[in-house]
Amino acid sequence: MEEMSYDYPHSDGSVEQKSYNSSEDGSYVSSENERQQRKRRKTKETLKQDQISAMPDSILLHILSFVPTKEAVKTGTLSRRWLNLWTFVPNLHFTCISFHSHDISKFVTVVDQTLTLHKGCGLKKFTVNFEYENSFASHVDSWVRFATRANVEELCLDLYGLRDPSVNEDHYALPQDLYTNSSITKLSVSFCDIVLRGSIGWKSLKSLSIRFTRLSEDVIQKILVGSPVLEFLDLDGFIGFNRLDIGSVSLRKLVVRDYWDLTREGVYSSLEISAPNLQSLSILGRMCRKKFRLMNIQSLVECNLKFGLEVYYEDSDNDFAVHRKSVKRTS
Amino acid sequence: MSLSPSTSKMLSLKSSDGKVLEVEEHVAVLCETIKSLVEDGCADSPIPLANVDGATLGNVMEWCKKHADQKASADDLEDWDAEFVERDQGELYHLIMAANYLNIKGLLDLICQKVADMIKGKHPEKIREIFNIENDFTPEQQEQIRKDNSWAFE
Repeated sequence: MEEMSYDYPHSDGSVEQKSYNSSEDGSYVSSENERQQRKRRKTKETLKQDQISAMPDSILLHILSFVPTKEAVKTGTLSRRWLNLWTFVPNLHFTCISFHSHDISKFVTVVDQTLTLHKGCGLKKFTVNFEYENSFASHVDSWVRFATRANVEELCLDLYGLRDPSVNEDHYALPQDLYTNSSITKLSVSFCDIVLRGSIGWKSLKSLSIRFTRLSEDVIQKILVGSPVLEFLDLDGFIGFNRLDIGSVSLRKLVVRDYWDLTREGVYSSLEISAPNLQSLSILGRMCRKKFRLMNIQSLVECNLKFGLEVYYEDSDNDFAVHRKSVKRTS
Repeated sequence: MSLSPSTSKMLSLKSSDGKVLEVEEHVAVLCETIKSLVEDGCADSPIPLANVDGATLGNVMEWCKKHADQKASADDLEDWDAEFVERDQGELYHLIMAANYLNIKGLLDLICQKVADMIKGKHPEKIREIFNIENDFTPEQQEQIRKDNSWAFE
């Protein structure tokens, strides 16, 4: 079998191509069989070009940013061209869907190892999604430190679990230095404790999602005061406050979703929302028997109410009295 | 400057192989590179695009035209895009280089996602086969890399 040769592509995107020495020798003897063979070789020649490796680093890194990080790491074994490429990938995305402690420990090792090798420069997005246990606290601290030192723009810590948030076990407490950060524009945290020793300084933060986390009215005020350009706030699986006093002039959109109260401490409580500058409000999901009171909402142009109220807490989803209402009004 | 469809004029784009394509301005300005030229009043006619061949330019403008259509719904665009990326590697390669040169984020993301999907979930040997990547490591390097990366393969 004839071995085709091709030249190694350069990182700037150019490819030196050698022309294929076809077996054409000018003779008239050319059977159907030979013609087919030539055709096959020709097809093989076209396929033989390694076009992907010829692309500039910036594009290959863009491609790798769509691949889960663990798989991006493996591309380092493809060829010399790919060896260290992944260590510059701008999006780091780690997910562990297993609840098995052995798998989780292995996952933590993979994240640690990856961050040891990744160069950290140009990091835009860092996502980690796994079943957190308190024994991993120092690891998660070091991951967050890695991301913030690299001036990450989007940080997502999804440390999920089926735990009761009113019992503060196995909750990751966000590290204090994360509360003062000027590079993050989008922050999303799930099952993380927010315990403030000082104030908040999120100069660039535009989008904040806090899920399954107990929040006091005081902490919410500190977040709003410390995030001068915050436009979008999503409180999903919320608990711990009865009043949202949103004086922020930058905040345009608020989503309040799923009242997360497994102990029923506030099943019959109410939630007052006062937001004179808010343009869009959504109240969604399961709300037990919460009462809502909206005040000072003169700037509102869009309101989406789509939530379920439970008649009896013990009963299953079948007994939901679902109130669906969608309001859209333009001022 | 208004770039709405109703007031859109035609722009001439000239590919690297000399083909000239007439495109509505509101479609062509999905390319940030062309948009800057138009906004700065530097859009000579025809605009020379030295890094994009005629066939690829045609494909790029087909994508831009669909995405400039304000009547197209998000679902509609998603289905259309899914069909648009069903191409051989050569075409995908040219589209990526063109989207990068013309600075069309949506198209670049779309094609890069497609290539990423071709990589995802595959063993390195399979990836080499798909993209014809030559394993140019020496056996010693290969062994070292295998050891260094064993944690990623468990």
